[in-house]
Amino acid sequence: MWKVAWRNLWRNRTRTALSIAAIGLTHALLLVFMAINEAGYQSAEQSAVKTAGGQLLVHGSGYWQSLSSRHTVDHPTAVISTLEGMVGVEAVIGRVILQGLVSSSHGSSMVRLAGIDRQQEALQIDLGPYVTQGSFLDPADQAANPLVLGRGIIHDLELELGDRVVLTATDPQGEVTRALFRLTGILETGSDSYDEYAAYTTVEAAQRAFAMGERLTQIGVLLDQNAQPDAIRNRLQRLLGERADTLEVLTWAEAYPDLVGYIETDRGLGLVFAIVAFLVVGFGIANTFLMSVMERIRELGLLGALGLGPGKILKLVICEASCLGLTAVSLGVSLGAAVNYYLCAVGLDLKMFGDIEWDAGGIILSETVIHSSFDAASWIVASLVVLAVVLASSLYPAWRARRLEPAQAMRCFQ
Amino acid sequence: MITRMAMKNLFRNRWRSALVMAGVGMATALLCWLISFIDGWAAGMIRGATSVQVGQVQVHSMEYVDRPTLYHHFAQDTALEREIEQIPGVGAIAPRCYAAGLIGHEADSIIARIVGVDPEREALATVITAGIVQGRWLSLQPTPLSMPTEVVLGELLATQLGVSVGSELVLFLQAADGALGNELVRVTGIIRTGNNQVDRQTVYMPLSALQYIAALDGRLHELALHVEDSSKARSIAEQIAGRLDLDRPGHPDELVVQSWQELMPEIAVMVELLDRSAGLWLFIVYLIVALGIFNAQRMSALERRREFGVLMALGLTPRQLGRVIITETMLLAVIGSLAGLVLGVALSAFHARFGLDLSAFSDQGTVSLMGISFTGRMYTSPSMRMVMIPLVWVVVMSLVCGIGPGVRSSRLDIPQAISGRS
Repeated sequence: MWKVAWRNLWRNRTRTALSIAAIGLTHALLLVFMAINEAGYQSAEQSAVKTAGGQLLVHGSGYWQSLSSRHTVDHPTAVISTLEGMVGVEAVIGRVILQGLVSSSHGSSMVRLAGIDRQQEALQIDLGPYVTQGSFLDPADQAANPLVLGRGIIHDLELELGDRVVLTATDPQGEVTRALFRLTGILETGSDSYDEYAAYTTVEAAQRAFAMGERLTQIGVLLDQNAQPDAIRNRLQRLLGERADTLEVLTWAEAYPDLVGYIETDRGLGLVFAIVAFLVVGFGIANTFLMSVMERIRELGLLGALGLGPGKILKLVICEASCLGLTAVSLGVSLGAAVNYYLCAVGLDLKMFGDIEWDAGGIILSETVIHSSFDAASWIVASLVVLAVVLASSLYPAWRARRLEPAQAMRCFQ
Repeated sequence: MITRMAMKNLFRNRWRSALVMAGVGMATALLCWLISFIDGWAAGMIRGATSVQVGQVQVHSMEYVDRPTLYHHFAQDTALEREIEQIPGVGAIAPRCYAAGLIGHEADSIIARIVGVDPEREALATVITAGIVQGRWLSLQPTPLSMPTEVVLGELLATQLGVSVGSELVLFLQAADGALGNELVRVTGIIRTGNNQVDRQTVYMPLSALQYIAALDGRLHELALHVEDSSKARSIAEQIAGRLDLDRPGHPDELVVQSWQELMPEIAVMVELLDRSAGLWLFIVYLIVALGIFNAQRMSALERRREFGVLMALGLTPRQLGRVIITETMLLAVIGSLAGLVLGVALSAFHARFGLDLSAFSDQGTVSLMGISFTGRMYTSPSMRMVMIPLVWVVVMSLVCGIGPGVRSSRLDIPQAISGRS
């Protein structure tokens, strides 16, 4: 049966080739499109994790919504040791993050001051290489209150390395506090929006300057690659017991719901498009099969007369469709894989459209090179869907072929 | 005659014609809707970025463009403002001052961007008053000295401080003369605009009050202009710049005029990128459709070789036969796409009116790109583009698809075709 179907297909070469080309091309496009999007989402998620400061964030309860230094993690050592003992946790990073105002004699600028431990922070991202002048909170540096500022702030406030600057922020008691820092480094990441806001000092300096004692505002948690942030968050909340009420534990996705919204919407629209594209192809295929059945009315009638029952004729047409679909899908997969391989290896630089920094859901995506990722499961699902569309579109023609009266069909001249 | 023949031929094979048309129609409907969707998105983004706050054109002092700080201001010049307002296309002008400061109460305070605005002119130049979700906009009359100064807060800022309309707050900021200014203020309104910078960080207060607190009497940081047609912003900015050079040679304040495309290049690039992605989709989808049509027409021409042979034996010239086939193809495609357009236009008109529910795609129900949030529903923006672009492409595509089978059939050998041995 399969052999007959295969032979039938190739009796009209151009038609079959064109159908295969149409399906294969669409399939390849769909696969590449999917892979590019998926890679984009992944890089957006990575950026979100980096911006957030970890896959899991622990704050004083109410901090994330208010970003207020009122909400702190009060006895962080216990929380940190709990976290360090958990399976799936790779690193735990303590931070003091304050929204502040940095002033010089040339004006003031809003900053996000992060008090960090450089060694710990380097486990996720080391900004050291981006410090173009001075040093990045080097312990050898003797300054008591070191401060590293982004290039944009330095420019706006006309500061120089070694200058003293005043930082104004609110301490946990609600007091507006001004503290003196010394500019020891200039950070130049190349992202304008980052360099306009970034300010770094050591955890100790920030705690001392703003009367925080040993309190932290954020504990960032880095997880193993395969760990599920949600599961670990739930486990952590159980382990924290009574303390869970005074703390909030967020996954990066909860911290940046807008980004998740963006990704989900983009994915949804992509799906709608893929569906319509395949409906269009489906109409084309149905047409091809309908014609090939009509064209072969006499042939099919003869087969019927020779004892091929209606069910078998139906099966024959469906077999033809399956052969066609399988060939087209394998063409699509190989074409898609080739393009995908190129994209994985080389990437496509969006810079050719102009210099752009993407801001999706509050996350700055400075990566403008489109890469691609390969996810076997989604490729298999997509290929099965395409096969299903091909088969579905052959059903009506096959049904018509089944209903043929052998005698009448053989007599038919058109 | 040719069109009639083509019509009849199409009717003779109803199923096939219907299927081809359905394919073209679906594709056209999709693209038609897509164009209006992308236009709506782009317009929403431009609107979110410009009309809430930035305006379409801005004037600053030369130094402010390089270093946007408190000290780089220029003298308010009502004569100049009136002159700019005369330029055709310019709507209203909003003079502004900016300062960074701390706003808060006993328990907490937050760093905010304080914007001093002329309540009346700001409301004319921007859509800020449409964003009010609680309370009201700044009153147009100056506040009596005995009352605390009125302020309007971005919604997230208000949530972060835990305040609502009527709350009294204290504002600290560094004044231009180096002194520390502070002021008791009262929240009269809370706004939500979809522009993240406005919603998260901004405090609006009357211009005169901010000028007083920040020691900026008679000085401004910015003029924001409303321009009806945002695509004309660039040429209007040039006109104003020309006028400034002419009128104010040697004036101590050197002013720079910029359009929104220069102020926010990333939005301009993003809009262009959206537009190109629509172009790419158009190309891909029509390529797929073209393969389908070409296949169908080629086969139907092959199937009718005998018929064509007879027609030519009866005196139809090869050129006429070719034209019949090309006309058939174009009729198929154009009728199909007209049906598709009806569907696409209807759908997009529906979404222009009622909006596309974003929560159907995501539990979050909000999409934020380039600092502009779309929450709840997204509206399409129907225009002639969404009809014309697909239609032109369909005509071109069907012409290309029809030529092949047409030319091939017109070359057939009559006796051989009639005898059926090919």
